[in-house]
Amino acid sequence: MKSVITEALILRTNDYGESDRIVRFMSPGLGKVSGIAKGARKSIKRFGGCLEPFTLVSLTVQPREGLSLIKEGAAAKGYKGIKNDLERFAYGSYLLDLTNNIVADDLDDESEKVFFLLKNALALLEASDKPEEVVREYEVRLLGITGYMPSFLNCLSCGDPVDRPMDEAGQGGPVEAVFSPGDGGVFCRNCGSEKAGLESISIGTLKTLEAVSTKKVSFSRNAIEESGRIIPPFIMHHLGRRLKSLEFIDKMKGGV
Amino acid sequence: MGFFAKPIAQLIGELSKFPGIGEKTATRLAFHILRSSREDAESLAGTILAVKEKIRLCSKCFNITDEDPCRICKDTRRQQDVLCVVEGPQDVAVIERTGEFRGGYHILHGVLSPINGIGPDDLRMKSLVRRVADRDVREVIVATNPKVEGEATALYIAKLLKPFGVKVTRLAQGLPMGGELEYFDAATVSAAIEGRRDI
Repeated sequence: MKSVITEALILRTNDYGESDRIVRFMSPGLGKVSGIAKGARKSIKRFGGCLEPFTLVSLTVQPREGLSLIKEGAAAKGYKGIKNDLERFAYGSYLLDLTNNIVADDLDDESEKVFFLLKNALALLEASDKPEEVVREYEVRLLGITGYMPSFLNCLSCGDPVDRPMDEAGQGGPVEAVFSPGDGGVFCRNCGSEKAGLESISIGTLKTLEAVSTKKVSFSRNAIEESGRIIPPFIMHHLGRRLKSLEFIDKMKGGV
Repeated sequence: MGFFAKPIAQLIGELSKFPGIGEKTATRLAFHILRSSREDAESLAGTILAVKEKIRLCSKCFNITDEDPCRICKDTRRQQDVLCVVEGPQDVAVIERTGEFRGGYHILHGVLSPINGIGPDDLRMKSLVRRVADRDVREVIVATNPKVEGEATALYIAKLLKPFGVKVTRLAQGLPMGGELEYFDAATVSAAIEGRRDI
């Protein structure tokens, strides 16, 4: 197959043999690709240190079954703001790890959306003083693109909206619902009352999460905290394991 | 490998576990051992066993050593108030070869790696803090690799040691000796401009 030149975001790398590097990257046209860059650890001329996570690169790739051949590359952007800050580095690593694990290799039509979503999230993270907000927004939008979007506003059992307004008797609408990572969405207070161990989530946070998939919204401090308790467990439930980059964030939260 | 006698097949199997050694190279090595004298084969087997039996980590710097403390930590002629922090024991050899550094070392045995779940507690960080707190250390040179994870580890060390008022420095980054500017990528040249010095 002919070589193609593509823009790509490096997701992860592994050294291989004496001087090769296996690289996982996200490209708008090729999707999520694994490739081998022969001699990458020695060749300044062909790669010049561009095969590193948090790098937007231009790669010359020969697509192949299994491992594609990465012939050369040049860095276009290095996301210094992420690399030079430990907290952003930890959250940014989770974004790359999540993309690598949740995006299917044959996502064809949606690859471009994932690429630009990640590119935008890294640019936002680089300058943001609320990295958790960037991460939550990215998670929800990525779930939407990959088809895993949970139901945030309709009860999974009775189908009623959990944010229904006051009833006929003039009683106030509910202020909370419960979220079930295993079932993939919310239950209203009535239906969820018999389910043990589920997280209570305010209606405000659920509305924020519903809205974030379609437009830019600002998370309140409570929405960041609450969505952090439900979205990662939901993702981990679907992946069937906990991502190591999330464990790292927990370790770093212990403080330096 | 069914056509080889069982001991040869086993040896090929063991040798092909080495990094960078495929089945073909392992077969060549196995036949080289087969053709060698008994003394050479015994010497090779004995050396491999000795490495496993005698080599341990220095209790001070965590370098690999056959005596504790290691030769570098025991050498009183070396500067005691400067520590060079490296990722692995092989990095010590590279720095020693330069002959430019006469201080002590601290080997982390890895770098912070979120994707691999390696946090500070998985590295020799606490012992680094203890060494800096217990001794009169004037400077800590962080010589982790200039990759994303090495840089993050350097940032972490700088934060970790800040309360002790010790000077934390990083190896210079930029153009290698003998290189030509036109072949370098923007990140390398940018690091060189940032790290320029007076002459």
